[in-house]
Amino acid sequence: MGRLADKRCVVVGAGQTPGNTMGNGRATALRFAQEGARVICVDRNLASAEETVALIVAAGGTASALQADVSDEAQCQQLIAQSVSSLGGIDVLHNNVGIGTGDTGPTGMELEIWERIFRVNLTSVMQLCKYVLPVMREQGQGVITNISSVAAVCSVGIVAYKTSKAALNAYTHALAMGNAGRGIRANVIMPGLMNTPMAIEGNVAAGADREALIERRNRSVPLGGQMGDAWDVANAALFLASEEARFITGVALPVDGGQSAKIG
Amino acid sequence: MTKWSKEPAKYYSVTQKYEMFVTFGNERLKYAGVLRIICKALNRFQIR
Repeated sequence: MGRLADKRCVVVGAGQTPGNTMGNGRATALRFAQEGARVICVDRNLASAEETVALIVAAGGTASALQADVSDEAQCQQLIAQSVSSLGGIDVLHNNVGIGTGDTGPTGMELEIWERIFRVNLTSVMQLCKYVLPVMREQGQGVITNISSVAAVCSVGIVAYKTSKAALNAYTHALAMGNAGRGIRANVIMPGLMNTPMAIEGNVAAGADREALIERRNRSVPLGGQMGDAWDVANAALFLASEEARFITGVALPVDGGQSAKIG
Repeated sequence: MTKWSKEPAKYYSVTQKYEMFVTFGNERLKYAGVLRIICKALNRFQIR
């Protein structure tokens, strides 16, 4: 019996940035399916979501790919309705989307970039929760897991990403407290320095030396001097989505090799 | 707009399935009724 046997899961951001390694969303969708969940893989890039579905199906799992831009409220409403129509309900909503493109320090910040980062990192989650909560309330149960970042609590020089993720933590806290009485759990995962395509490829494309970048990131991680990978986030997400975490709501779980514990 | 890669089968709850079954049955009964009337008419006029 899988840890998510017959659970109906929607993973938003289940595709990934092209690269040599696996992204958090794809690994989570795969992990959920491995444990018996029926998964809808949502991504703005349909081809990327289809790749995730192909990996799930090849491993004997059940999944469908759905294209949606979650920065648009109408599409959030539609994707929740389509998921309910296909699965008969939603047990787990996993919000994995996030961007940091163009982010900079406070004096160089452009309003357009600030608003775009907030729209994708924070507003999308609010919009999806707005439409999934009535479904979960009617079911009397449900799990929402949002992917934030240790940037929310650690010192970083990029302000829009950090602030949006800190707001996502606060939003999830409000979500957890407001819906605990209805049997809905809401938690946030804060990944640290991960060896994922989004973390590495964007910087390499911007001119960073790949090996030096990986070396520098590895050095910043207290636990073994090695970055984590997508499976670390996926396993944490699996735990929070499963019945093993039935008494856990409103937590911000760092998956960061101790980076956020390094104080002083 | 959102777009499925390949539209999955729609989910039907047990209640919905029951309702569909009843509707299907009623349709069949309707046709059976019409057939019965035709048969009676044929019988009445001794058409065999």
